[in-house]
Amino acid sequence: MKLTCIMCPVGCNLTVKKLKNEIIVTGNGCPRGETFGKSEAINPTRIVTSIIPYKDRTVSVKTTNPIPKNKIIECLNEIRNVKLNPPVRMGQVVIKNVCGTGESVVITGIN
Amino acid sequence: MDKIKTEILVIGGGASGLSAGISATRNGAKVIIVDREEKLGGILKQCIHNGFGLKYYKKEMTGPEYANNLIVEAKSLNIPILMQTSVTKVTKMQNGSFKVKVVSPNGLKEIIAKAVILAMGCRERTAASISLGGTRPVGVISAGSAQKMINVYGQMIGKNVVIVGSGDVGLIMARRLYFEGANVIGVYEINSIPSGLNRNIVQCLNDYNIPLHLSETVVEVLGKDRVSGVVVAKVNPDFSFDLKTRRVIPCDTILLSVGLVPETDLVSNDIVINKLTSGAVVDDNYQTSTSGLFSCGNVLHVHDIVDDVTMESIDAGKCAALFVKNKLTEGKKFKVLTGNLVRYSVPSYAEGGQGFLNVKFRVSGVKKDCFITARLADGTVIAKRPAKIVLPAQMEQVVIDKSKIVGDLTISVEDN
Ligand SMILES: Cc1cc2nc3c(=O)[nH]c(=O)nc-3n(C[C@H](O)[C@H](O)[C@H](O)COP(=O)(O)OP(=O)(O)OC[C@H]3O[C@@H](n4cnc5c(N)ncnc54)[C@H](O)[C@@H]3O)c2cc1C
Repeated sequence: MKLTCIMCPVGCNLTVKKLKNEIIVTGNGCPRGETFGKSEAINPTRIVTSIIPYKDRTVSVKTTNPIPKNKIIECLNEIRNVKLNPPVRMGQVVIKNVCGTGESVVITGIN
Repeated sequence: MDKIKTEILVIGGGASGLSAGISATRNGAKVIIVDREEKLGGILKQCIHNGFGLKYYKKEMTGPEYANNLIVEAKSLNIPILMQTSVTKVTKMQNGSFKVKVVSPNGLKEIIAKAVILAMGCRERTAASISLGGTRPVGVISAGSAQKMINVYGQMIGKNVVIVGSGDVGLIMARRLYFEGANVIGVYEINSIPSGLNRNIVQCLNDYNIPLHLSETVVEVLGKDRVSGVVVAKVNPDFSFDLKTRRVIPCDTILLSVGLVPETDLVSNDIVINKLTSGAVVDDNYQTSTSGLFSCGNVLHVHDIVDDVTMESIDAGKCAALFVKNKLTEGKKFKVLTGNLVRYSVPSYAEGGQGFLNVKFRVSGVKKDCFITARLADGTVIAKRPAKIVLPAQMEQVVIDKSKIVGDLTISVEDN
């Protein structure tokens, strides 16, 4: 599997080989690339960020840690169903265990 | 008219203005920050995605979180901040101080300051600046304005979207629009290489199967009241359009991500402007051609990473604080010139002495496994570092030992 590393702006071209008991990453310029390559091969994950309407504007939110890529759309739908009542604060948890991932969705900014 | 006096006036309360104001205050100066918006943070407020802070805070955060860190710090230092206050004129007076005219909710005010730090950020290039052909219906919007509409005001902008230009803002917005349920038809880039970072191509386009069309662009906008479509065509290597390849793509919205320009208008008649960056020409103290007038952040040159904005602005704030205390030492300044593959570099002037000079620059083309050098006119290398790859999309830096600066120097990208 060939992929571009997204851990930093260099964007190394990685080759990831799945063997029986191990995964071999080549083309990475640093250890973060190896971690990324392995996680892309086993279980690719991303932090998800979005917004929730609040008063006549929005609050911005994120998942506290990366969640599996195939849960992103489901996660966005859960976020879409949240209704917020004032007051809110930075860091406030708005969803616990989003899509069963064990991660929370928290407020990152209030507009 | 109200009159206010201060040592340093910072124009702009984004990452740059906040960082410069904090640094100047920590270095003992009396500072006021003004910003024309309702809330501090500048562009960071609308950048709700993650990927900020890795370099400076050693922690990954979103734009609003990064802004909040700076706002909390500025407030803890009790820096006076005037919001919804727009600077309309900066004049240098005969006694050396600056007279700054501002418009605020309670009328016109005049601020007298010994030094001024320009931190006004940048703005987006528009349909007019790229001579986009066709009609001007509703639905043509810059990527940053779309970002603000969606992320700050919670207003969707359209259903079927074509993105013109592959700048980072456009790439980030492609994903954002997809998340909000829009059909992102594709990104059209006139050049043969993307202008945004590779990682954004991967995590914003490839992750969601949004096509990127290189060497292809929108040649005409269609529609009377609302956008009804675009005509795209392939672009020849000499940038002429291959009209045989014209095809119509129906859409209701066109997002422009075709570059950012420093917002220097306020002072562009009074100071020397670098034609390549459209920002001020500055020396190693971030001082412009007008003494006491400093510049940093995106109004100086467009940065990709906010951490670099903060670090640059901390330096600029410190220099401004030294200036108002009459402690800014200024020796003979040498020129910093651009050599092989270097499109522009900042600062333009530097002096020898103690410490280190950090030169930031952008390249004009892609190059792998190369070296970045600084040489004196006689060829002596005074700084050299290897680079795995240099890209126009990415700002580069080279650090030079100031004791070695004894003449004009040239920054280059070399083979070995
Ligand atoms: C869409 C986008 C995505 C980005 N993504 C990333 C990323 O993932 N990671 C990263 O590290 N960096 C990213 N960046 C870069 C980084 O966020 C910016 O470089 C940085 O925030 C710029 O800060 P600034 O203070 O120079 O400008 P700004 O944030 O633009 O602040 C300028 C301020 O000046 C005020 N102002 C202007 N003129 C006047 C006037 N006449 N009077 C009063 N006030 C005035 C404005 O209101 C504004 O608040 C991104 C930038 C953009 C645009």
